[in-house]
Amino acid sequence: MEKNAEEKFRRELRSFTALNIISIAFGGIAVALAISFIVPNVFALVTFKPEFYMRAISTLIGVVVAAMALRWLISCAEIFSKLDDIKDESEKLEASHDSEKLTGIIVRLMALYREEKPTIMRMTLFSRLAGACFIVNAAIIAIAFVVGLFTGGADLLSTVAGVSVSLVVGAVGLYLPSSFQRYAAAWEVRLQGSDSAEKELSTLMGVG
Amino acid sequence: MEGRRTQYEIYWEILSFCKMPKPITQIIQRCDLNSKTVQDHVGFLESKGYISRTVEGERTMFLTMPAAREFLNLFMRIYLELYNNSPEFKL
Repeated sequence: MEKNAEEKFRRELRSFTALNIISIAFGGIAVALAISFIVPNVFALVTFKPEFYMRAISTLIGVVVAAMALRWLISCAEIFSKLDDIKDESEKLEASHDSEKLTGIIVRLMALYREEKPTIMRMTLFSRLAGACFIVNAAIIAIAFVVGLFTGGADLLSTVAGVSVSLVVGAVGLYLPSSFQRYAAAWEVRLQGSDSAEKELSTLMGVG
Repeated sequence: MEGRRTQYEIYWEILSFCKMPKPITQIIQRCDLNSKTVQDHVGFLESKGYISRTVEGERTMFLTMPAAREFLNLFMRIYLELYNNSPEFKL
């Protein structure tokens, strides 16, 4: 059983580390893209072009996404740092195959989940919002292109690039929360189990 | 150890750490709790006969007693089962 638990723990740790790395990359790309949307739009706003309102909405979305993505990036980095400590400890486990050490690491991961549960829930919300913003932004870029066809300011290449990037980042933003939710679901079952375990342990210790 | 733990998880941490005699400062450091909380937990475990204190020179050392074995084994069994029987997280 310990061997199964150990292998399962390794696989989960790898998956969660990968999820964190993807999330950090997503956060970085989202910040960069949001800023790249804000800067040209702000300059265009000054010149008061026909697509002024589209630009204004795009700038606003960019500012919201940049703020959310930055918060997301910081949260991911914090979780990653704590996870890295646990990973260091788990490397020692590989040599010893010690059930007691494995139990200690499971306790640490459980404590990490209890501590980071509100952050994970917030992150899933941020990611969904940021993802939705990128998809709305893709729609705005497409609409701006159509408007540009009549006013003479349409640029097909930059529109295709802008829509594609926004859609891809938006899709990743909408996909990541489902992964975090699967992680949370796995740990929720364990937390519920630890509540029942408390009763058994308290009976043994004669507490309560 | 960081994060939120239940009192039983802290008891397990203290008892498994003190299988070799340990001073209170090392227990505080290991459990990442304040001195008062650790003293309370150690006091409770002492009252249950799970841990004993001995004075070595100028230092007071804490050692897990055989009476704690049942708790340690049950805790480990429950947590390993809990982990093994729960759904696995995959990307």
